[in-house]
Amino acid sequence: MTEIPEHLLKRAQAARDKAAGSSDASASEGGDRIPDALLDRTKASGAGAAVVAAAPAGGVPVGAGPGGHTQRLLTVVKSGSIQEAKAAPVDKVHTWPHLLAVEFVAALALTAFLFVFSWVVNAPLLQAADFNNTPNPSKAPWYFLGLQELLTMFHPMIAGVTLPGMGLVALILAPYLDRNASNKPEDRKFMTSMMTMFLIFWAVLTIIGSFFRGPGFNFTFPWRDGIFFEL
Amino acid sequence: MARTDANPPMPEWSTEYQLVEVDADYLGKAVKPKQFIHIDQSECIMCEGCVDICPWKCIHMVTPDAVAEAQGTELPGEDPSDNVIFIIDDDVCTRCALCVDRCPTGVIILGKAGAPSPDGDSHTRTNNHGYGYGMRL
Repeated sequence: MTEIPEHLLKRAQAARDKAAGSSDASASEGGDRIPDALLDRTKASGAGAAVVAAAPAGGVPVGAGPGGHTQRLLTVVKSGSIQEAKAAPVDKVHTWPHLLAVEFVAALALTAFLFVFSWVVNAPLLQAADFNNTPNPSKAPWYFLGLQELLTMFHPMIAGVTLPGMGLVALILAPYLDRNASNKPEDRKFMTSMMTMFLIFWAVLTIIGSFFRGPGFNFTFPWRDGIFFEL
Repeated sequence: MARTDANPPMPEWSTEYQLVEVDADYLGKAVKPKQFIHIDQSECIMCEGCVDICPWKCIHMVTPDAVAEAQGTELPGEDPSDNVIFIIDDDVCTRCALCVDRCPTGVIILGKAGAPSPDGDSHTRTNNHGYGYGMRL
């Protein structure tokens, strides 16, 4: 049998005295239904067992809080905190399941799509490479042709390392540069125009590299010399 | 995703609370379940674990500015060391005690509104009885 703590024994004694009709105990300011230890603790922390109610005039009506609810002050915490608190509660949604479930379903859908796509679309390898007969023009896959087009204009160090590196650094810095929290298109005109300019720039490079470059990667017109492009 | 009870709407909260001290009888009349949640501020680390875990979103940590007026009790925020206050909507709270189990410092207790029995209140946390993290000791 565990030992009963001393303060519980004291409280039980007080309760027995009160049940016996002791007038002293009945004067204990109506807090008889809340354990004394709790009352002492809340008094020590400066907050009474209190109801937060909207209309206290003439005694507290039941359900006088916001929305007809009874809201109670739990505690007033004294020390400092690293948490940011606001006057009105902020609605929060848990990452699990609200975000992760959606992401998991998206990953499943994408995997299923890739599975079906790779089943339906045939993408065989070409014949073995013959280094005595290299293809002319030698073109990268279409998604690299913008980069290959840059190589015709700049030193390989600039076109292959510096410019893509600057792009990657800009992507890394994007959350720090773009502090606009709104996700409405009308509030994001600057960043939308920046992204649009980048996409057009890159699309033009890719189109030129794909359709306007012929043998030797020289400039050509597709309607004059034909298309030198394989998907 | 379809809206489910896993993410219920927030109860209404005010930013201009009137704080009134009431007694246990009032609480018993205003709220049906005869138990109440209590946080001991001295060991609260303001992790907001109780706010996060509450299935009904009925506990909230707000600044003391939310209380506009206090009658018969000290106004939170008057003392400059008052950092945050915790408010619970007792009509929405189901006394599921998830916050009690979640609290890493074990300072949330589920008290019983009523006279304690002669051998002590079985709902009160003591050194050798009460709630610990993840289990009931």
